[in-house]
Amino acid sequence: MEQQDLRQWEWLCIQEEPPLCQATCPIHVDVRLFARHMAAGKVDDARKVLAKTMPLSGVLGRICDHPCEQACRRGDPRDGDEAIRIGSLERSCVTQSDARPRSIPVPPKGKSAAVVGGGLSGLTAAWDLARKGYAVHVLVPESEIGGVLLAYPDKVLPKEALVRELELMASMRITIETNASVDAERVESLLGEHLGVYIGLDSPALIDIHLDLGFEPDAIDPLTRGAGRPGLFAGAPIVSAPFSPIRAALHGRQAAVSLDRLAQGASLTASRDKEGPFETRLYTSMHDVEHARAVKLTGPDGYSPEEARQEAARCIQCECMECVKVCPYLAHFKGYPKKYAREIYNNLSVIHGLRQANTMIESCSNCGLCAEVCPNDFHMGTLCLQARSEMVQQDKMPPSAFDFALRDLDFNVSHKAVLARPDPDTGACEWAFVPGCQLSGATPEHVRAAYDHLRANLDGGVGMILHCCGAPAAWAGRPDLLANVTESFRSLWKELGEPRLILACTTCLQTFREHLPEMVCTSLWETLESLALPQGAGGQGAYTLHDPCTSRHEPAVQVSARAMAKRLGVIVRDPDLTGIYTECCGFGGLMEAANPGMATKVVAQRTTDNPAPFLAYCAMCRDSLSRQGAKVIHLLDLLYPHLAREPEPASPYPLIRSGSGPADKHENRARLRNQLAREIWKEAPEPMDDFERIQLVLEPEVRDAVDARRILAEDIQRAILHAETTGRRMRHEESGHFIACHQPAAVTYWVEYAPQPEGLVFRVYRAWSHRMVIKGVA
Amino acid sequence: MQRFPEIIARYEGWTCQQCGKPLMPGKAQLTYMGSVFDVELPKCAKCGMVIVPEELALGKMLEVEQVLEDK
Ligand code: SF4
Ligand code: SF4
Ligand code: SF4
Ligand SMILES: [Zn+2]
Repeated sequence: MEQQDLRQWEWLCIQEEPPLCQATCPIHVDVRLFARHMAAGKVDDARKVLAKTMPLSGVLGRICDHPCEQACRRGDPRDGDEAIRIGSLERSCVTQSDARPRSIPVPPKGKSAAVVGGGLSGLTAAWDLARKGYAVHVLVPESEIGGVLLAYPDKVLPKEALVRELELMASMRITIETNASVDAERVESLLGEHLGVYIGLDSPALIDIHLDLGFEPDAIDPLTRGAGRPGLFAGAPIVSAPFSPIRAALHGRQAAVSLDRLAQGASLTASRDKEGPFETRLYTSMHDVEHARAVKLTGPDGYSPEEARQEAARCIQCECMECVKVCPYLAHFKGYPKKYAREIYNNLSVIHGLRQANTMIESCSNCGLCAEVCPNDFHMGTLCLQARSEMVQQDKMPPSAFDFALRDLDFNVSHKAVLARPDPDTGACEWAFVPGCQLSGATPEHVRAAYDHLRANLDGGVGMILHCCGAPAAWAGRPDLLANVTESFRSLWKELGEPRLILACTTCLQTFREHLPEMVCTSLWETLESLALPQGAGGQGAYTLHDPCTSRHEPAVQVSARAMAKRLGVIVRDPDLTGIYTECCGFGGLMEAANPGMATKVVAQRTTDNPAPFLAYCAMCRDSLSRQGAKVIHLLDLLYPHLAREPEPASPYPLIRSGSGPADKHENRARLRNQLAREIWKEAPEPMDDFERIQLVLEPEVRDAVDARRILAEDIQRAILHAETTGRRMRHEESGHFIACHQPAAVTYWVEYAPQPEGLVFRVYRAWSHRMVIKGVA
Repeated sequence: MQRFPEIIARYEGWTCQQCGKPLMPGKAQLTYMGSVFDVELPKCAKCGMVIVPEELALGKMLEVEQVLEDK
């Protein structure tokens, strides 16, 4: 990933943008944090937040004209109620607390600036400049410091409040000269002595000074506060509109920035667009916010501490997090995509040392729900897939992540699982049924039944293609492998005369649309919709319909699935997240392969947020959801109820069953291929490999353990065959058991077994594996 | 060298069928992603064949594998 790619990704996620209040506040007080402290009753911490950005917080905190409130998300007339009373909260805070002087001494810059005017604007400029290390000379024409501030009634702005702030200023490098005579000549000499001069016009004594100095208040530069000649700045003119203290402070602050830049010889104008109010890109949903009016001001002195706490608690702490709210995977890593993008970028740039984002990169299901809910379509799946393929290229992909899935894929494109044949009766092939690896592995009997049904009802000849679509290769960050798989699929399709494809799996559909766009594809459900129902089809009851995540942008498929369910006599209800917002079952993106615990979380959220039983129309979704013990049936179960295994007629949902494990699926595919070749196309069976003659007997607990460890029957068969033919095995006298091991590739497999009296039958007691290599015993 | 006497004790009574020798604790080397570790495993004194116990493979070894994968 290049740095500019990172920037692009970071830009899309607006979670770190400031909330509306802060962006609108001319001096960008962190209102959100301030309100959080106030809500917790931590008034002193709240005051520190104010003092961090606010000059003379004891004064401005009392009188600020709070433009932030106009912008507050809560006050939005479309979906809000009443803005947070930020101004009153600030007032409450500063009356309850005192700002201690900053303890960090700033190294003196060795330069000085002059400020004319004792109003809030001039004092702000002096405050800011002193905090940057400049010595400041303030000239106040009146005998008393304060300018317009002195006009406030004592109830609003007590004398002591200003005095307290002036005390703080006295401890900085600021000298204030009262009764100063200020005219053009004096300003001229100030310009010579100092790096520049700021005229704070918010003082009645300075109302006409611009005439003297030869500038128009209207012509002051709105960004730099430049007043017509180098080194001279001015702001906060008293105009007819009510005096805005926050605007006066902003002008003083802008001038201080300009003077500082002047001292450093930097550009006065470059990248200053975020000074003063600006538009934030933050998005915050009001969806789950309970409406509540602002806390009423009861007394004339503003909010009591308790009232302030309540009002501050109404702040919804604006943030986006839309994607994190719906994705357990994103929530798990305790951040949000912008942060994750940085972590992934860093992870990919690590040469030596820990790659801390590997698990994150490997675990995303690539389901795309994040992009759907994100105001800027941030697709974490795309980012993770890019990162995966980069890791593979750098040879940094941990072998444990996708190895098993890729071995499974290898098998599914091998002669043991692949089959491509035209219609057995006519040899024609206007259509071809593509059931996909998952359905073939989970319920091969459905493949056969659906194929027979299609053949009986469609004209032009219906062929069949058993072959992987390549999705697992894409998910594993292997575009090279994906290209091979799709190429191999394409040539089978061409050999059959480019039939129209009928797909049972929306993942195949999605993959083909992207990588083999020349093929005409429709889903099994759309095709079945126009055909008669098979004999005996139908069911009853009400189900939560789970759309597969790869159907997200296939509305026609989703509509057909619903129509079919209705036709089959069941009632379907939509889950909380459905249609384009459907959730992944935990299998997508190889989430389950790389991080089974994460997949469990995802399924758990789906099945606890929605009532069972579920109706799925993807074999993988059915198996994943059932793995958590949720009751799930497949649409094909309703089409072919007579194929139900171990049906429980007494149960209201006799078709519910749990899914097959990966080892079973592997076997099922090979069996399906041979069975179809033999029974439908009358072909002689493929010669068996030696290891396939080994028959295994596993108790159910052993089978479950073996499945969970992702050990295939084939691995066990090969280990036993190896031991039995070479004699290299361990023997336990007492029990008569053997232990054998076998290392076909990266993984070493171990099995404890005992030969059974009849033929090549072996009872398996346990099997385990590891990736570490035993030196010298390979 | 890493020793796991309790785990190895569970493999008493196993013999190497090729050599007819009982397995005894002995040194073996494991490697993964460029790192090499010495461990004590049940081993045939004659031909050197070892068992990697299930308890070790799914316990300590898995942990080390994961650390080396920077998970
Ligand atoms: S939805 Fe997620 S990725 Fe998009 S802006 Fe919000 S936090 Fe960022
Ligand atoms: S709700 Fe809170 S964080 Fe959001 S805009 Fe209003 S004051 Fe700011
Ligand atoms: S699992 Fe789905 S919603 Fe979550 S980050 Fe990955 S693609 Fe986005
Ligand atoms: Zn031996």
